[in-house]
Amino acid sequence: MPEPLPKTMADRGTFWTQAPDWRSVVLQYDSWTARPVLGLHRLLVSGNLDAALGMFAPAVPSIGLWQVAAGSVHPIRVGRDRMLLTAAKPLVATPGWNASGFAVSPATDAYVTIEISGPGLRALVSEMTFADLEEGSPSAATLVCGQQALLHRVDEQTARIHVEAPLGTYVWHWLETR
Amino acid sequence: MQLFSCPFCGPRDETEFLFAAEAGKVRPEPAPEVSAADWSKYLHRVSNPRGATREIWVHQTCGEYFLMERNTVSHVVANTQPLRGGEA
Repeated sequence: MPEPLPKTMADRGTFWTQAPDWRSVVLQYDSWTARPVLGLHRLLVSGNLDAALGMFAPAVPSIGLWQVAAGSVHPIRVGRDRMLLTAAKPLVATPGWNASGFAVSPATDAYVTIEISGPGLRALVSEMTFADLEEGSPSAATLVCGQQALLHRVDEQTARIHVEAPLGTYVWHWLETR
Repeated sequence: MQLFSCPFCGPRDETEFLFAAEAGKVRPEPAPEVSAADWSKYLHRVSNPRGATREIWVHQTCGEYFLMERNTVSHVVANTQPLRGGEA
């Protein structure tokens, strides 16, 4: 009768950092606070972005690196022909190809969004990314804590970091152990 | 640390970029008539010049593939330009 495998061999999940309970976690430090943004709706749009903006967020320019987003729908620019739309209310769209020349992919569960605010925001973010935030960039995509992310602000002292959902635990753990 | 300039995003840290290919390499066609030696040469042989070179790079965070002209000795980047509408 062979020996049973050690527990750590049977369950590799114990090697990984435990995912936070996104419904309740908050980090509170002297100069900044971090919390996940819950209930955010997301669509990934590729193709003719002008046509897509006309449909989802008329007269709203796409948001680049460190730019301040305004309005109820945030069209966050990923690349030349791709953006992530986020909104507190559901975004009505038919998934797939749109005749106006863009494709829509539901992405609500594909990302985790972490919001950081406070007077220490700028100093903290300068530790998280090499990007020159004052230089400006039409794309909000950059490396944050070494991971691909979208970085922008919603007001002067509040930033949002959107990372692919599996990376959310890592970025949160980075903030916890900073 | 070195800055590369993505044609779309502007200057970004080198860690955001990856080398993709030598510029000007043409896939041998038609495939059924390409010898194993020519196919291997296309896939694995790179000229790796000392000095000025033209390469295809990708900006990982935004997904832009672009042409970069740089010097492999001085590391000076002479030019970057998008691949759309041009030949590389």
